[in-house]
Amino acid sequence: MPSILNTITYPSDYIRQQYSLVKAYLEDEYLGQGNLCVSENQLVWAVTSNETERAGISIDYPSLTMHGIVTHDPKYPEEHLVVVVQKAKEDEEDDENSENHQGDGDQQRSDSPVEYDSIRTVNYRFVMATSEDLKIAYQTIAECQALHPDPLDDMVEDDEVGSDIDYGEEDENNGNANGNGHNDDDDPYGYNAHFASSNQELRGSHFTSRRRGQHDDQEPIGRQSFEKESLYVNFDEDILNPSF
Amino acid sequence: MSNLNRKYKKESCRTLLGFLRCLAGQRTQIDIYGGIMLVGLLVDIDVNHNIQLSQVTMSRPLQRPISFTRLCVRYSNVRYIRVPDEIDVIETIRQDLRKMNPKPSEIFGGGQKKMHVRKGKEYEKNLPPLRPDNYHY
Repeated sequence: MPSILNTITYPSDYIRQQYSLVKAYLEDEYLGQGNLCVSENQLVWAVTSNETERAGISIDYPSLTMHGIVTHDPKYPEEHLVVVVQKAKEDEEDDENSENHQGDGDQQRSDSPVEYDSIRTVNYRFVMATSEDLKIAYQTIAECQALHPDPLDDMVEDDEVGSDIDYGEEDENNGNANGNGHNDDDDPYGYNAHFASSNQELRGSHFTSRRRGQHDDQEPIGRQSFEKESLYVNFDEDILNPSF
Repeated sequence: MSNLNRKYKKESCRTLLGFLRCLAGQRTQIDIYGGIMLVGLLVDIDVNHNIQLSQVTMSRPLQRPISFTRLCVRYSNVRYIRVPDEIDVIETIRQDLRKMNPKPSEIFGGGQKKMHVRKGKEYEKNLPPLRPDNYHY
């Protein structure tokens, strides 16, 4: 058994897919045949065993740079899955398999944040039992990757930015099945509240005639009562106190 | 699904996501941090900016290149996406914005009633009366 393999905990839950008889290679070194497990928290390949703690590789999705399907490769006749993983900085010194010898700036990297120019990657290759397994594994890994955005982006992300571009309300209701319009998405900065007074005036003037009609809840009678007011004779007052 | 739509629209408005999605089907070069270069056909960019490519050649410095039939790249590793010269960037962005904000007459199937009209009727019912109740007396 190669010494590169760590003892890892085989995942027991949130497993999306599992494949057996998967051969694994790290760069060009053959690691053995075992189980590939695509779980929502990590990608794991481990030797076939009944124990939870096994020899194998565990890859976290944030460090999974890219993954893909290779059909033609001079060294590997079979179609296989290649997973490119970002190598952790502390593995730099004792990793003898690295072929990247760019070398400059490595010593200063230990305390500074990740310098993107000096990112190192390693290739893992997984040869699956069938071609169908391969396609499903590729798709599942892509889906699980989307579940792990970088935490830094959540800080930067501001839901309300861009509300000045006018496309919000009409489009959202066109796209929404349930049409819940009365939430903060429509008016994150409270523009409606700010402009409400002017809106009210505008609406007031626009709907004045209708408003008048609806004021008494009976349109024709209401209108009549207003228009005839000047001619209306108030019998009680006018007869008792005539003012000619 | 509606959450994904909403997130997509917010992302499109903050970033060039809408424009990038219009590049689907084009042969592009993508520069990855670490000196890696990918040349391939853009298949899809999802709302998190993860990129899917097909027929890709990946070249790493000091290593032989690898050819992928399908490749999925995590968004955080992308440095540059090179836009092909024949793409008119501004026009593509305009078309994408037009597609995202169709006029009511352009919506296939009619679309839903406009929000501000609905709000208008409810809003109007709740408005205080123009004249006080004892106006006529």
